[in-house]
Amino acid sequence: MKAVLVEHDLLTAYGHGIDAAWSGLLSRQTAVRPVARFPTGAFTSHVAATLDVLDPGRRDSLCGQMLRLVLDPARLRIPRDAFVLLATTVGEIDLLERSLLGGDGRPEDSAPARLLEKVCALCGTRGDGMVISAACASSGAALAQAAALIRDGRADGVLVVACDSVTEFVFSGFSSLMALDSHAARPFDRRRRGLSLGEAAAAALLMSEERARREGRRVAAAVAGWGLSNDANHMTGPSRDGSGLAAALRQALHSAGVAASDIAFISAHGTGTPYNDAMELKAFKQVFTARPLPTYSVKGAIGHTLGAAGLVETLIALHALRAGRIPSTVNLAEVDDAAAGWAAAVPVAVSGRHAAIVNAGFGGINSALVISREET
Amino acid sequence: MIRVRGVGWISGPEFGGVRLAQRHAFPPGATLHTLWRDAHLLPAPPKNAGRFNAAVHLTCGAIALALRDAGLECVGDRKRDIGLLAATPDGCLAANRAYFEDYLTGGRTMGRGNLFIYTLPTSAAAEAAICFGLQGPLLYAAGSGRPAHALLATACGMMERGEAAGMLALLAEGDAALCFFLAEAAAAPHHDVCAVEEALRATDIDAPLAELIGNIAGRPPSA
Repeated sequence: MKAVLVEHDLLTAYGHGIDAAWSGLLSRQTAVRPVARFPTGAFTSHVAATLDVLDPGRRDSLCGQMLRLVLDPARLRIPRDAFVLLATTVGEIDLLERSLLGGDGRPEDSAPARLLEKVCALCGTRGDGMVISAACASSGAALAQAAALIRDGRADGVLVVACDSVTEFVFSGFSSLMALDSHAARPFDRRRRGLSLGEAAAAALLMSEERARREGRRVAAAVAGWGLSNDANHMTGPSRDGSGLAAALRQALHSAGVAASDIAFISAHGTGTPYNDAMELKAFKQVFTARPLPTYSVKGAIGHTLGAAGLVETLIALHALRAGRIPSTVNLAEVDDAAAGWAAAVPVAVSGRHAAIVNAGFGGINSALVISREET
Repeated sequence: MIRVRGVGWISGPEFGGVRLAQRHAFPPGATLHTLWRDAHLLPAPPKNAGRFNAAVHLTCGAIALALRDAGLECVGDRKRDIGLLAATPDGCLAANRAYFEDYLTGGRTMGRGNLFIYTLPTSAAAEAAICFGLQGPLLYAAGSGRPAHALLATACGMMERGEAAGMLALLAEGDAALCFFLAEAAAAPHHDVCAVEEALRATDIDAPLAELIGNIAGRPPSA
């Protein structure tokens, strides 16, 4: 049973909706800017891609505020029987911050299961669901699991919801690991020094092709294939040779039943850390051997949105498939030698029906997806 | 045909494996932190055991027991096409608290990286994947009901689709953990615990983990 994507929405530092994200990317202006939400004086960076509409002083968590904007059951036509997959790394961690800083609430309120309950309530679903967390590959893994449930005939409607926010907890942690660039992140640039954090929420409703047709849904794309792997190598750094991500990519191509030459472009994880970007390019060159493929990263533009990254980047890749061009890699000025011919500082025209989206996370977790443009 | 090849469990003062019908009490004064030294679980302590938090010790311990129960060597010096799904009721709340409380105590200037790396729901599983060389899919997958059943069903689906040759499904809560190892049927039936369908039925209840462990640890192996 083919898994098709029928409804979606997203919220990034460029604003609400795919059009805001797309025009922001094409503007080549980064949404990364100085952080005003908490003091950053002691950290190695002072910038992130945050959303002005969020207010940390509100009772609702930052993720909760984002999800209220994204999860409109009527607009997304979310069926009550949809199985919900929530993808996040730390979810409502700001509730734990508040509690430990002497504010209201309890640390337990930050548990991912609580957020899943809230998501189901917001969506008006029956409450069947699962939290999927796979570090920064969380929503790539959740999309894979959603497509698998549909392909296996175990569900015919799955809602994937993804969110993560910029908090003092996360910012201080990445700073302690010396993983942040003091400038806005510069993926695939030879001067890259680290990542920039970002926040986002997104939702995608997947259905079996049969149910989508029965309900008269407009099909945007198929989640055609996926691959998941683990480096089993290091807690915070990727395997240097890219073999884990290459294995996930090969699995995704096999699962989709397409050849490497069928892929029009790659939406890279592209964090802007020296090791990640180098590892990714090694992986791409192991799999796409015939020629360099048009490749981009959105993380210089909207920051690294952690558990939301995979879904946000899938929706942007879908838009790129339809538009017939990929966005530039924002902040890319001096292309790293290893990325020459792959990443570009300008938008690039592409043709084809299939795109690959890859993500990688702490603990060596890799995800790869193949999405296919549908013609309906 | 997918079978449950081994089941490891840890519950309060005891630990064991189902296929081998093993049940051990922690030696006096021993904890999961010190058990590695007694070679009960591994021939040698894992490389990074010195930095492990309680959740990692528990996760690695339960996996070691499940693999040993299945008759596999528990050494991480070779990579294996085995995936790992894990679930806990609260993500990694204790590690999150430990990191942020330490950060606050330090004057909100710099967190400790060695505490921060354990603040993901997958952190304990990722450390275990390094320890045992697990290169298959690795996910935290916590279902809204019957979590052990949801984990097993998800793991089973991954195997049926060929996403890994074997899968570990681990449920942990407090100082208790239950870990199933799924793989294709062994050459000899008595090398299995049971068919995966039987494990799915046994876990298809909304019960506390301690009760589930009691039910399953007391379960005689069936061919």
